[in-house]
Amino acid sequence: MKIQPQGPAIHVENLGKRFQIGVKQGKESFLGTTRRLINGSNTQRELWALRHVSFKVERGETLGVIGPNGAGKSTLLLLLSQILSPTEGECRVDSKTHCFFRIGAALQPRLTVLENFSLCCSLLGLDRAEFKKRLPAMIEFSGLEDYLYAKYGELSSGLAARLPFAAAVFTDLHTILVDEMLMVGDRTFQTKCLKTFHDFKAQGKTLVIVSHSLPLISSLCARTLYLNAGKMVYLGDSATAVNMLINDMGGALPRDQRAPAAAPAPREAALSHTQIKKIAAAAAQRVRLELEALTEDRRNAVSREFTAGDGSEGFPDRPTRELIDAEVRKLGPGLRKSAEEALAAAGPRPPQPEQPSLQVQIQKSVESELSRMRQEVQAAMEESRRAGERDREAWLDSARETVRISQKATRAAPRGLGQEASPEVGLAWKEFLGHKGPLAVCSSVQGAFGTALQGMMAWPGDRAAKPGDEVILTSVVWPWVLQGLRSYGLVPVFVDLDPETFCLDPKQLSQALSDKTRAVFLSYNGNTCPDITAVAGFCAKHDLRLIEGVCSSALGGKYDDKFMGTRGDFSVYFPKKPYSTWSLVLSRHEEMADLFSRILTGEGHDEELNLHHGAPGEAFQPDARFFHPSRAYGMGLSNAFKACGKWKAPISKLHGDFDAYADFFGAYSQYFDIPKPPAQARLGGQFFVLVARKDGPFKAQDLLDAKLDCAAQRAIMGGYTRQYPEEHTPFRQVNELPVTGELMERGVIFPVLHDPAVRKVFFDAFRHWIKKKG
Amino acid sequence: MIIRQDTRKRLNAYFTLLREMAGTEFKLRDQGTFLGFLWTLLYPALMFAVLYVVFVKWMGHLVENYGAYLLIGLLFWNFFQKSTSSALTSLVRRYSIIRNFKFPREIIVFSTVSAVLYSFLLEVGVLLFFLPFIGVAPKVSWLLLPLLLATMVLLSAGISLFLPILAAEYRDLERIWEVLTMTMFYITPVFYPMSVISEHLRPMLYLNPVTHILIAARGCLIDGRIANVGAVVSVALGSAVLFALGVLALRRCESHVMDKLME
Repeated sequence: MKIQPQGPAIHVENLGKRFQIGVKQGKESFLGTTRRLINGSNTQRELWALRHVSFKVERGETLGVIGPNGAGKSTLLLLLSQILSPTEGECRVDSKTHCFFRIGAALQPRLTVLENFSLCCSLLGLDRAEFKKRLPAMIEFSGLEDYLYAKYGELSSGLAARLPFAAAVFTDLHTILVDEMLMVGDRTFQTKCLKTFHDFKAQGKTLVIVSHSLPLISSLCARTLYLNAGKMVYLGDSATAVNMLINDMGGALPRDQRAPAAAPAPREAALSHTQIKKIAAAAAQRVRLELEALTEDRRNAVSREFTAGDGSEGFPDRPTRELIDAEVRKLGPGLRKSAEEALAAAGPRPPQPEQPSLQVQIQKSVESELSRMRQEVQAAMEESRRAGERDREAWLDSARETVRISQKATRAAPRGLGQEASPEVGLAWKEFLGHKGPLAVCSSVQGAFGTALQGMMAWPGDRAAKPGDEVILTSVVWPWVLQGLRSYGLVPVFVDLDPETFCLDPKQLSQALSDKTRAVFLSYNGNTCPDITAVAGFCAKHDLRLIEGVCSSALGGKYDDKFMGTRGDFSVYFPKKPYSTWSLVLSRHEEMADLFSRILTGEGHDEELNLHHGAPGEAFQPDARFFHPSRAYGMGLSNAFKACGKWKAPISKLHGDFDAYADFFGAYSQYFDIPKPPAQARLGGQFFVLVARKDGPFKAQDLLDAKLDCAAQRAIMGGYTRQYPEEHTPFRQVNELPVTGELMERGVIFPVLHDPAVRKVFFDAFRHWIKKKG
Repeated sequence: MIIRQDTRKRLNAYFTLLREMAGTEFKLRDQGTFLGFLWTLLYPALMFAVLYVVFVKWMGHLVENYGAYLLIGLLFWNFFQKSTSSALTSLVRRYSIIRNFKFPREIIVFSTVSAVLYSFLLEVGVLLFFLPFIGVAPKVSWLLLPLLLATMVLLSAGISLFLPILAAEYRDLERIWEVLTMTMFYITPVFYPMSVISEHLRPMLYLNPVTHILIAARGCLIDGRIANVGAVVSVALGSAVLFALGVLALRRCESHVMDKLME
């Protein structure tokens, strides 16, 4: 089977496809048809999914197809693969070709991986003998050696996606239709896939790629077809098509929404700021893609060299990695420069659009707050009914008290908190925190963290971070921290916790330091804090960036009379409800204002950022379909959050609660350890950590099992560094992290009750429990 | 020469796919059930037990060796009923595959029929093993059994090819076919001999092609001779024509069916 040398591979002329779309019921029944034939009523209407489409694709060409959802992209692929037949026009595809797009559709989750390989290949037209011949290569490419006899459904989504792709690569496909295939799998596999596409191109295969990932399209395809609402809007140069799509989407439209049927806007219109932002993001993304592909090649080359020189099969880990990292570092500056150029090309930031008046906003928020409160009273009463043997009156009283306090809280809270994202939200937080530098509001904490990392990478001078550089942190962090670092190619270096403060131990920082260290990430775990002066001093001494991660548990806490998160070069804030539904990123450095404003507009529409801050297409998704097992506060805490949400108080009042808890639990020091933060700290927050003493009579499980009104949760779950092999996500640790291990085993976390009356009920219950047990 | 090689390659791929799909269908059907594929044998056994207990007193006088008579009838009937009804829903069940892969659509139908055929052959094997124990000695005529089985398969497959096309058009067909096969069960001599039917009604039963195959199968296995050779041969030829038409029809209506399924 040879590819015929001449004539276009795909020839489409005036192609159209019409569907019957049910207006009321989806499926026409026998009776329905009869009725329709008899009385002529029609419950269906016609929809042209695609019309008047003509184009040719030459052999060996790669054509991109883009457009909003419902544009007819999938229909086009179905027509090209001759699964559907056209309603009008003509669609000729070289008959000797096989096409694929969603190969995963054929896979059976209840069969083994091997059985699925064989099914998939037979569907792609491979006979038994050929399949047996190619299977080893296929398995090697997919990296699924260890899972061959596992049920396919048991694989994580990332691993699962590799199977169909590997099968497709090793069957002789001449014309290849791709529908959003690269959106899964980890970065290494994605790079492999990208490389495969380039190989396909080199082998003279014809490719048609449908994707929402504009950077992918512009990097792979010379020509791109832009479809909108079934019509061909543009066919030609990819960059133009991509820009036209971005222009038509207009920023305000959500990704999944059908584009309006109205005629496209004139191309000459000046680009809005949002559009510029998107173009810049796309350009930066493209540069990053290139960087990845390149570094991967280099990595491979270096590993090959090393293996050849050594003569042994597996090579020792450390030296190779250093070699590779050295290579990667050599590549860094040039590409970073081009990324900066791309950003600079996006131009200055235009003035902010007008906002509705502050008065109206406040009015609205008060109204919604009041209605929520009414619901809360009802919920609280419901709960008190369920509490049963508890003193009903006391619960009712406390519920009423709660609502009264939360009403006060709303009035006392800084303006804008918990409202729609708007510049006011940012201003309100700035005012509240007493923060002078730049600040941006993001819709997700991933977006906020990604912005901080970009800031680190764009740091002026030679201290800018680049892939392969290291960040020191404890392993008690949220999953997105590690994913974020991985996405930017940064290597986490874990240090242990301080047994006194339960936070990063400043004494271990110098052990973790290397010439690649660029930053320290400081998280305030469990409502406590370390000696921040020492950490900040260490960073200043070694010219390292300090990034603070301030979650609900540190909210309102102060150190040396300054709020947490105002000391670092960057801070990522993610207060939980009811304090805000938005995340913040702030910096002490004015230079970052420009970068922030370019990346984030503060308009709240940073959907793009969630997608573009991460590795290509991966968007910080966990590797597994389940929660990412990290040593973070993790699963099960939603109950605690709910409990916090019920008893809410102004942020400025939060810090007194820590002392109340510390006093109460301090009385049980023979049984439990509690955090002992430095004297300068006045802590706030929504959680309190309790660690069962090794020599005491209690275990963490006892606390979890205790039927207290305010349920305890396990403090730290999982074990990231223990469960994941190093090649999956590179990391380093200074020692075996004994304190972290202890805390993981014996620590629990209580949601902090801010209302003294309610708190008293909880404390009484705890006292009673201890008496009974002890 | 080159063309022939190409055709062989394509045929190879065709049968590989058929085997894979049938295998998948068979593996998935009984996976996860406690007794696994024993169910395929258990179902006809239970049905046999019930019908035998209910009818042996009445039919036992009319038919010699009613047990064997009933078993043969049931196995053949079950094959017909199961293969057609599973083929009927096959395109809908395998929608995700046909939406994403281009391959001859009849393979879907064949694979469902093959999966049922596989258990049918197992059942027939068990039947042949047990027949001597219930008073039917092995006979030379048993050698003709494969031909009868082939006729049965051809007939079921031929009908099965049309059903999913119609089912895509009219969703009601699934229910209609349930009722239809139930009715056919009673107007096919599965658990009664033709002699209980009054003379003037018999020709109606002879219109049913399954009747002829049943009569021939019993003749072949129990009596040692097939009395209605002419009828069976015409059923076989008719089935072959139906089969060919079915393949053509499915290929012709393929894209129309796809449109209907996507709606």
